[in-house]
Amino acid sequence: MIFPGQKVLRVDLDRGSVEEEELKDEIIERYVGGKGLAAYLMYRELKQGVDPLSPENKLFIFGGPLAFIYPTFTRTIVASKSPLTNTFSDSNAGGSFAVELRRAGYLGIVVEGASDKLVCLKIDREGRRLFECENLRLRTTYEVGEYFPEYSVLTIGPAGENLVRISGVFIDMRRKPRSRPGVAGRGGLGAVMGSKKLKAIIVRGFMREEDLARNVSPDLRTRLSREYLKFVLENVIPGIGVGGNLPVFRVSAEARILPVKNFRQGIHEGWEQLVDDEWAKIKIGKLSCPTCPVACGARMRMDSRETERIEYETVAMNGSNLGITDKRMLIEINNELNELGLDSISAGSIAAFVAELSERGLIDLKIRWGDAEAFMKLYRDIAYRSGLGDILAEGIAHASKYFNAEEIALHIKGLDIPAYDPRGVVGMSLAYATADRGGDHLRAWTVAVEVSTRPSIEDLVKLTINLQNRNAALWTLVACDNIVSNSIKPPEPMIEIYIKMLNSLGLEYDMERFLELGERIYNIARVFNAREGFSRRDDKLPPRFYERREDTGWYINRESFEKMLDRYYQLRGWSDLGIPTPETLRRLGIEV
Amino acid sequence: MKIIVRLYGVLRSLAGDRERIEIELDERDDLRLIRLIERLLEEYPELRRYISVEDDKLRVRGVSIILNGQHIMFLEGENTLLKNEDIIDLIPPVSGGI
Repeated sequence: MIFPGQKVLRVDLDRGSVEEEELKDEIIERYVGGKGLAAYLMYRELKQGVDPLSPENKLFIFGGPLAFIYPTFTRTIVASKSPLTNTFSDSNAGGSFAVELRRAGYLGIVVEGASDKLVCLKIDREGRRLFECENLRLRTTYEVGEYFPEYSVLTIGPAGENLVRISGVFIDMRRKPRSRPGVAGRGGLGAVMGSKKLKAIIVRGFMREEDLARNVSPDLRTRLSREYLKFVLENVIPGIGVGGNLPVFRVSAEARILPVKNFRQGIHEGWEQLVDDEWAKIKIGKLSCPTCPVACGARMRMDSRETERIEYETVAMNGSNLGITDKRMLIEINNELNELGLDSISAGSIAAFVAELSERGLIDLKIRWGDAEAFMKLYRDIAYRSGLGDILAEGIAHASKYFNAEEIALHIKGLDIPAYDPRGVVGMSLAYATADRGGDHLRAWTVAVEVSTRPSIEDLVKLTINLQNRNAALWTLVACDNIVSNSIKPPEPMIEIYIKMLNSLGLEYDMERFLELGERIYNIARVFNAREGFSRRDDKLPPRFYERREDTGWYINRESFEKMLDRYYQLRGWSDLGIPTPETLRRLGIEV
Repeated sequence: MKIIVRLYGVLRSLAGDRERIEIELDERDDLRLIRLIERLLEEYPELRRYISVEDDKLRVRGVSIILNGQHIMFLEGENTLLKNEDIIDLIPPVSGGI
């Protein structure tokens, strides 16, 4: 065993069993934790073609080895075969779950099978046990969080129970939380949990820092923690501003890349109402994850409406994209989405799709841009699969086929496009198209690079690959996106400290090997997707992005995009069809 | 001939808050985009924080350069030849969140 707590809990809901399983050293050495272990186990254990909502699919919930030993590594990876995209999917969230799980002696949990009755899993000093929790059926994420006040609570809302394919997994949701809650929103992983009839996992750890860090020299640990916190204080906290990534709203508006009315424009009237300075006026507090000094969670109150945390993506996708500039209504929408357990990006996207259908007279429903009440009703209908909501609950790819309106559906592989229009920031088009979980901005957020590059396909492709590999490696720890992406200086010195932290536990990494770890994980996810039938034909943009935008005339040339994809595949060591070649897999030590 | 440069966000602030700049070129000049950018940088040197020219090559820090709706990397990059009434959009990096 390389470090204490090198174990997973394997939960078999068919049998009702919960068993410990030690992870072999060689697996830890090659995949470390978080996304790495989730991707490795998912590829090995899931059968090709498994129905994501069947008992045969598995849910992987992982923290990383640095949690609780070093500050800020609090994030939890939730991964599974996505019911929204049918691809590999992982989503990560803040909160205290990963820290508490680590303190209970586990790196992760693998959930398989399905229960007959609604159950919860409890992990604490007394052990771990499944118990029936029918009393929590259709309870909101906040109600579940508050029902277990002494535990970190990972749960789903009604949407997850109703197998809504845009439902997420929520952590530590409370109206007056002590620490920052988190949302693993993307990919419909809440529905996977719902299909297993697992309402919540609650955990309270008991191990002390010195138990978990007993292999680490105390002096080294203190020095690395101090060095890291100094970097964070000097370079990350100044970039956080009001929190919630809200400072990016102004920049996106000024750059004309906001999603507006289903990505038809890049800026809208009244955008000034939604910039960070306006949110700062109604901010009533801030929240941090445990062990983190950054406090990026921004708590807001306007009139009598209050929300414990709101973020840029929610504001842009449900504000700009739906014609809503009233912050009070956005606070309500944020609460509604959180209560129901819906992904705020996919919800905003599908609502804009419906509004455009309505505007074009393609559906009977009349829903106007800016009508916040109507959009909230739509969200409830989706979460409870009521009327039109039942079709929308299947996700945008399904809904757009149903309404014969695929040309106005903004998604890649079924995952809705987040709040940056790639026609203005073209680098994001490649990042979106090649993201392992479908249309996603976090795998390679190329729009904010601090390094100087040539405006060339070659440099952009290299940057995208580098960021995808780097982030996959960082998500093994599990490092926080808000820290790495908000640094006002290039984050490489910080990542060097992360590697030293990892080595202090007994691993042997340098930057080159760390990036290769990320490359290995990215390729495992890709071969998983290839095994499911995905290839080049799926790495494409929504039709709207190939058209000139109404306001600026910006567009992406289809042939040029394909040329960029060619180069991406070449540099990745993938075939023309986008499949990793045997040589690439051999080089990375991936057995297929 | 006349080229129109539209600036956004921080780039606009660095160019004296000018939203739109018209640059006259002589058709006998070197009509490559890089020469126009050099002209722009001479006039608005603060822009060098985000765009520079080194060894006849353009370098950018997160800036997108769009010519008539298309990113220049899909054209001939800095060597793209300009023509009368071309519109160039300079889009700043989108830092400050994710």
